[in-house]
Amino acid sequence: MIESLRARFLSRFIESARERIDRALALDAVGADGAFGNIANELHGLGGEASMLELSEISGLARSCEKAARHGDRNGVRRGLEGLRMATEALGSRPSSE
Amino acid sequence: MSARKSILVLDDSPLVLGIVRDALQNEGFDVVVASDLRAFERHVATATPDLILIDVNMPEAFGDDVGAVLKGARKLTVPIWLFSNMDDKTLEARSRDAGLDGFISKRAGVNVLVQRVQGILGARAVS
Repeated sequence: MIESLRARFLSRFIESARERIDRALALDAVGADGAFGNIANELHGLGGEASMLELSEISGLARSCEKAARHGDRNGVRRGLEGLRMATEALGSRPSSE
Repeated sequence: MSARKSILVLDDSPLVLGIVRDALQNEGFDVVVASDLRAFERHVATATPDLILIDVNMPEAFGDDVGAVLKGARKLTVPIWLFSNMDDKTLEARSRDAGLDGFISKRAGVNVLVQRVQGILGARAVS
């Protein structure tokens, strides 16, 4: 079942992941009050979407990065977002399975 | 007469809702989804599902608070389960504190979600 779900939803996942990562990067760049909380929420959503498609690498990265955001660890967030961006683009460059 | 069991799912992610709907419909369940509280409340007011799944971390409200209101003030007897990407320990505590029926972790993946729902409602409830 997971393969057919991935085949149907992978492109939507990649699109959503890119949007969430871009929003998180923009929040980090602005650095406003509450930014870390909003970044964490974006990462939490991304992790949930990855989990539902059993994309374990991305869901694990999202959880780590979410944790960094909840602890206010800016360097950890930036490294995590870069890892997520790379993992997402790698996913988009290969066929439907992880 | 149809014997299909119905499930109402509240989650702010349209992608998660799409995946959940496809997976559960494929196993013979009727699935209604809501991506915001207003749509969810409309469904609750007009139909009685056999199971309600609620995400926890949403922009408008926490799902455990929504579930507690349904169980408490609204006196709903339908099973209400939290459905979230939080860790099991946190979900168990939040479910228990809200007086809900249980939790399903998104971290376990969609296959486990289907198995858990089948366990709650009975496997493959087709007409």
